[in-house]
Amino acid sequence: MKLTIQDISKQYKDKWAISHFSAELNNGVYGLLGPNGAGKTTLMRMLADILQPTAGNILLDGEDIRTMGDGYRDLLGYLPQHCGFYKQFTAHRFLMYIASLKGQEKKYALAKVDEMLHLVGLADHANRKIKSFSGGMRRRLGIAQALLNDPKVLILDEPTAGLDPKERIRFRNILSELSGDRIVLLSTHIVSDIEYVAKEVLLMNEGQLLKQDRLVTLLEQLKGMVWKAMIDESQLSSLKRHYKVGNILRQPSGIEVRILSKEQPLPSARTETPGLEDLYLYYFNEELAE
Amino acid sequence: MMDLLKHELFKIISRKSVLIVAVLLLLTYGLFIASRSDHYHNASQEYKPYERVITEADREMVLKVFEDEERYNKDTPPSERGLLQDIWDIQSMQAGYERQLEEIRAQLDRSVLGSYEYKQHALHEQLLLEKGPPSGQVYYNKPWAYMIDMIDQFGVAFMGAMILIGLASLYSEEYSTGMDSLLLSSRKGKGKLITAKCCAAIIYTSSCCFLFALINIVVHALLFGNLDGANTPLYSLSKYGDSHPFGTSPYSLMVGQYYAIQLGVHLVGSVAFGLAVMFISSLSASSFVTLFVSGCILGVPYLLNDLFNMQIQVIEWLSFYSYSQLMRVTRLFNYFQTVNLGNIPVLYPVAALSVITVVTGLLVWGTRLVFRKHQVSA
Ligand SMILES: Nc1ncnc2c1ncn2[C@@H]1O[C@H](COP(=O)(O)OP(=O)(O)OP(=O)(O)O)[C@@H](O)[C@H]1O
Ligand SMILES: [Mg+2]
Repeated sequence: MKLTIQDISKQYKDKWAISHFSAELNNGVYGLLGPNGAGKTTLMRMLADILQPTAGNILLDGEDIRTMGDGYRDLLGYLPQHCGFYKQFTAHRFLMYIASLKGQEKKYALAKVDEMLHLVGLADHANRKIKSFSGGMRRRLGIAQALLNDPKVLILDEPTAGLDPKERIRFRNILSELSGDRIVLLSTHIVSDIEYVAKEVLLMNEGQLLKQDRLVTLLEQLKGMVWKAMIDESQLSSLKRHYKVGNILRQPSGIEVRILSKEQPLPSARTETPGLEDLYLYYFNEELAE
Repeated sequence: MMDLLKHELFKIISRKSVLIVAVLLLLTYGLFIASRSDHYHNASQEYKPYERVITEADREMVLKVFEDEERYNKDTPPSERGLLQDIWDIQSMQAGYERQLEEIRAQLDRSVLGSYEYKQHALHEQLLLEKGPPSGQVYYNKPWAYMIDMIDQFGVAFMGAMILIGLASLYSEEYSTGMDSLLLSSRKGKGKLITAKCCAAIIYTSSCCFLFALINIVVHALLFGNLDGANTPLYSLSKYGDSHPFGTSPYSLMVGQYYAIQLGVHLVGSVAFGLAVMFISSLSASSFVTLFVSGCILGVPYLLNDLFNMQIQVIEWLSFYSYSQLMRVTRLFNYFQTVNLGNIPVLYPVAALSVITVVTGLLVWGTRLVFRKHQVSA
């Protein structure tokens, strides 16, 4: 499978939410990272065939998804950022409904729905009405419906929003268990979600793709730029003015700060191994860059 | 497809509001019946002796009763008054028929041969001749008169309310809950789903319609004790002491035949309105807006023309092709009216049904287009 995003742009009334976005996704998990308003949801909606791009094409194995139509959506699993439900439905009925939307035979669907409910840990709540579900349970039900048709193209818009740590781990395990012959694109603000599972990371801001690369390569580029130092209160504000400052940890002996800088910011600073959070800070925290 | 349809139907009827409105409407129906309970009397035996040609002696007998305040006052039961009225009306009905024919013939003489007006009057004459003059008998058909009147009056309100409450959310709620994302990104979401929703709307509307017709027929059969009079001529149909709404109707129908036609046209009108609500629903993300707009489409022509009796050209024309008129059915059949189609007079019921079929087809097609092209960007 190869999903090609070809010079996509999307204009809302007076605003370009996406401009000239191109990328190529092959089998594997891709993490989409970007600050609020970067255009992640807009991009994913276009990939889910529910929003027309103003310009550009999306191709699956060389064929335009618009001409593929039903055939494309048959391969698609999509979890919207704000997933809707029918509150008077039980979880089981809801998934059965989605299964029939996806064109599954009833007998097959019954087995598949049970499997999915187990997968996301909702088997015990299958016959409860969705209106009695917590936010996290609804999120998991949303994940279950996206996976129902064993999609070859899986688009997940902030799948872990609202999940507790235990459920986030469960989700990560689901992701890594999904067999390799599919394209998974997931957006998130929680960088640890994709730290271990993502093959590549797409960094986007203001509707544009900043970088698409393997995580190790991206982190490699930050090597020698991440510093840790102990400072006192008086140094903090001047430091903030000159460098991108990440984690600030107040300790009895002083303030421990993480600094992003090409050269050594303080004589006492020691280099650190770069992590995803440093990456995020490096690309998106312009406010601190000045 | 069947599975989708079942789910769509479940979505409509599982909402509490549908149940609540249905119960409230049926309660109102009960009250409506109770308010004229003295009318529900089986007078077939009293009518029997007069099911023959009415004579001058009968008229004199009636006149005597009318003038006798002891026997004829506001305490006279409706059934008794009805019988007297029915006997009395025979003569004017026969005279009315003659006068109608004379007028038409006069108009025929005045019209240019081959013109639309000429053809129109000729058609009217032909229909009246086929119908023939009133037989001069009294007929008992009260259970049908009340049943048909109930569909005309309460039936329209019942169906209107059930359709609005059941179908306004059909698409609107998908938009407002954010389910549109899931629907439109699924394989069947831009095709079969739309068909399933359309079928669900039709099935729901038809079920309501049949349910009401069934309740109506059972209630009237129980109240009157029988359903006598299906085989009497339509022109003789009247409630006790009421005028004859179909007295000048140009159609030669039996009461039972008309009831079947009324039910059929009422069903067609209801389904057409249901599908119109579906279309409006596909345009709006708010069920309330859909409900309000659809309610106006149903109610405004009815209020302006039937209730306030406004006789402005535009309003009359609107009301002529309105959903409420079609659902009432009565006005389609109780007088002679044609529409000019390329110089050929087309009977009003035929024209109304044709127009509504075309309009409904367009709305169904429009719904499909609107939903398929719907962009999720909110
Ligand atoms: N319907 C709309 N009309 C106008 N502008 C819109 C619309 N939807 C989104 N936008 C704008 O498009 C840009 C991208 O929005 P989008 O929702 O794709 O961002 P996002 O990356 O998903 O953000 P978040 O992390 O908050 O979910 C934003 O600036 C937003 O204001
Ligand atoms: Mg978003």
